[in-house]
Amino acid sequence: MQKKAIILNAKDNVATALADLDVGETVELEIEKDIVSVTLLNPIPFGHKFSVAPIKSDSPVIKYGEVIGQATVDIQPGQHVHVHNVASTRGRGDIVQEVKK
Amino acid sequence: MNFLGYLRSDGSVGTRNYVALIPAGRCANELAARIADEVGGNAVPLLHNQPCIHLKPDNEKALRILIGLGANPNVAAAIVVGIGCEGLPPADIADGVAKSGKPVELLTIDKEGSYQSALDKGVGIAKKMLAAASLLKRQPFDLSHLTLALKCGGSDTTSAIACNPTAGWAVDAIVAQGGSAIFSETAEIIGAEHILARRAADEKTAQRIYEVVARMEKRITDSGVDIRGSEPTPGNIRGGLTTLEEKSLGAIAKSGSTAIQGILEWGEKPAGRGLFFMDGSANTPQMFLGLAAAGAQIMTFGFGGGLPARFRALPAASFGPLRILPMIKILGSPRESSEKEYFDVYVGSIVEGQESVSEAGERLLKELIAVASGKPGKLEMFPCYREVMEMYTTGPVL
Repeated sequence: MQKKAIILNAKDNVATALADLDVGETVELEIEKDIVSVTLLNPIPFGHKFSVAPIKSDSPVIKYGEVIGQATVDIQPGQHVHVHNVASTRGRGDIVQEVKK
Repeated sequence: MNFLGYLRSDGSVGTRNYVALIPAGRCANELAARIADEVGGNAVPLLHNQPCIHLKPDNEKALRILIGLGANPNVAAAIVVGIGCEGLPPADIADGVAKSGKPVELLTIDKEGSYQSALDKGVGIAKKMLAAASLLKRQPFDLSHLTLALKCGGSDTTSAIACNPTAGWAVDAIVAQGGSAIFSETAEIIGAEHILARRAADEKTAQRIYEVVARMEKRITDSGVDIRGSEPTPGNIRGGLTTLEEKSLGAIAKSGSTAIQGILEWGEKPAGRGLFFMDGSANTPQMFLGLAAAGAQIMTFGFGGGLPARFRALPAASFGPLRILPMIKILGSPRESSEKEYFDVYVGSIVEGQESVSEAGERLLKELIAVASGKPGKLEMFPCYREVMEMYTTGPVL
């Protein structure tokens, strides 16, 4: 059966939408044997991510049980998680150059 | 499990049976293409962009590539074509290819006296080589004779769920039967190198993984800009990928789960069997050259829902210069299922919850064996333009 969204690892604080999801929609997610319910605060396009737990600014965003970046603002459960609120910590020539200056 | 292939004199096995026209430099592309066009059929020109004005380390890499292309098991015989004044001596390329034991001829305009006489002679040689190659018959070989090259592209968040784990399943199956696989694209393992290092067969390989990633990342950070927008690309971002780390963690799924036996230089042939990582470019025309030169006889290319899924012949994956490396196109995004007929294997079914990775993997492996045995892949059935392959350079372009 087609799921609305998927969590790839129990440690993750984000889920991936497998359909276009509307704001206000409640999504049930399987985390191992538990079911977690998240009400969406933003519309989430197919393939995009939303948070399933509060993520504090500067703390890691976890997917596949691994760090995929750092939150640039506080993120609430159900918010769209993407380039507007997550920064990469790798290949950041802009930051390296800033430190050198 | 067996595939039907052509036995070469060095013991390698081809999935195709081409006569390759190898230009010593880009100036000879025109002559190589002309000979292939006049001969037709299985004569293929391996067009590339190697100029005279690269520095020595890049020239050495290019020489390794051109020799490797000629030695690739899918090439029955090769003609090295030159003007005669190339930076890479045409005779060195021909000598390198000859070590594989297959028929090789050297043809330069300089020696033949004129373009027309070189063309006439080249057409004559190629026809004889094709006639000889046509007498070879496919025979059954087990999968220990197969080296699979791996690529993913048009990546989005479905890549990590569908295409890449499916390819990884096939890699595990091939390696379990004694075969080999090569994945590459150093920039696209940044953020996932610790996982690959844990899978290294020995400490030296683990250390090399960290070294090649650090070297690539330094080149990126030396540019003084944020990599985002280049990696992940605008298309990747539209598909939901937020950072390079996220893209890398999904990309490595195509390598399956077996131990990494070693780290190859761009175009270097693996010394043993099993899974290898090639330190190199993520740019398709450069990457494909490296994989073909390393001796891969077949390739899988998994597509997410990034826009390239709508390119019937995406750049460099055309039925052109790299016909010697047949490709299985896998589509993983249900959002692009309108393009299904241009792909060899559709695995968006995993995202739709209709199939498991192992079920999709079994279908992929079956198709892979069929294409390795001579069934034309979708790209071979929808021929398209000829894009020139590119050499991967790390030195200055003068």
